[in-house]
Amino acid sequence: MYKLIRLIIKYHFFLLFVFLEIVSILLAVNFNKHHNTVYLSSANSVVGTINSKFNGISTYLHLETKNKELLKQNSDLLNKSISNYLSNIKVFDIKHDSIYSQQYNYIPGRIIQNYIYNKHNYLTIDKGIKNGVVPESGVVCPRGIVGIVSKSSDNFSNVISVLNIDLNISAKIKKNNYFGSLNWDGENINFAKLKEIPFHVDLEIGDTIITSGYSLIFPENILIGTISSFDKVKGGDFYDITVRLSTDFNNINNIYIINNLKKTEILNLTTNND
Amino acid sequence: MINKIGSNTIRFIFLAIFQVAILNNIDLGGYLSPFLYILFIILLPFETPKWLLLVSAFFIGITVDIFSNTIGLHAFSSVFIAYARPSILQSFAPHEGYSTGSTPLTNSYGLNWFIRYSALMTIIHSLIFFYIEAFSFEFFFSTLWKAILSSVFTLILIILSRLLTVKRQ
Repeated sequence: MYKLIRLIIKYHFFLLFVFLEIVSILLAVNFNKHHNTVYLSSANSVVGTINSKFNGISTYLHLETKNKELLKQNSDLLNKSISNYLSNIKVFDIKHDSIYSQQYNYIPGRIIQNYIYNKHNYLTIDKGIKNGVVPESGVVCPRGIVGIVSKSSDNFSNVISVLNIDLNISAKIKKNNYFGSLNWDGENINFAKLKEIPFHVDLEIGDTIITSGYSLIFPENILIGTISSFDKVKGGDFYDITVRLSTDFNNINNIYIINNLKKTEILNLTTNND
Repeated sequence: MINKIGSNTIRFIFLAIFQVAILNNIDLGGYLSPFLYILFIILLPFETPKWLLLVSAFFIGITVDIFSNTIGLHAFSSVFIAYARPSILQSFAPHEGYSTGSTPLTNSYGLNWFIRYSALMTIIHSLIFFYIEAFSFEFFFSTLWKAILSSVFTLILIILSRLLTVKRQ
């Protein structure tokens, strides 16, 4: 025992050093683990009071930068005030003209959700019934077609993406106007299939595919893509055409919703025919 | 002796307050954080009992820790340089050794000696502090950069403060 005490006294510097370092490490580890050790932190009332006093001084020193920040935030908020904006519907107001009557109305919007990893892909856009979006409106982006509105709430709409194996779009070959139906095969997001083009049609790789305008959804002449390859299927009557889509579904943000203003008129006519 | 205890206690309090109130609020680009409080450990008298060296270093470290929410980190690095101090002082000792009753001030063994001694103390302290704070070598070079910049800044402050007090004397 005496020897032990003598040993401790002899090495007290080193032992105390090790002891204090262990205490520090334990404090450091435990402080991060247990947030309830308030008495050792700046949340402690004494420390907190002192810190807030110091903070008061430094707050005063930073008043100028804080003021600038607040001014900037204010101006940002003012810019966002509703009175600064014309309603999107009014911007693209329906024009009444005695010679031409407008058939399609474009509503600008933005994609807020975009799935491309499934077989049945859908998108969500930030425009809804309040903005004049109705189901079965076409959705296009500056680079090509995107999809068709399936459901609308007051402020948002759900869009069936072109990348949905259940969606068929009426498409035609630009140079000779033969039309067929475009459908995604669920594999590569850059390619879709064009069906129902008969064998006698003259095709070339690179031919442009556009919307036909035969459906009530898309106007004529909206870009879909270009032919990347085609094949004659044995025993069939139609080509197997692969179309490279012009829309990059990985990277779309701004879109337009197309309203067909004459839809009811056309529908009435066709139902009367039956 | 009583006088030395008094002056070191005042230095403890002053440096702790200065560190917490002013230096902790200096944040230059997230890199420069000067730790002037280690001047207290640097300036303790030569004859300070070794245990007192460690205990007082621990206390100034933990005081700064509590105010800057870094519990244990300053204490750890302070205790470490306090432990290293006797060896560092010995390696920098002049031929005739340190005279009894003196303190490691600038005017006792020359400014050059003081700068070398406090530079070593500062860089050890900064390296330990920043590597323990990062707790990995993942950001090895950014941590090293931070430690070097901060210790240079600390050293400049230490020398400035010594020069100011020497003139006053």
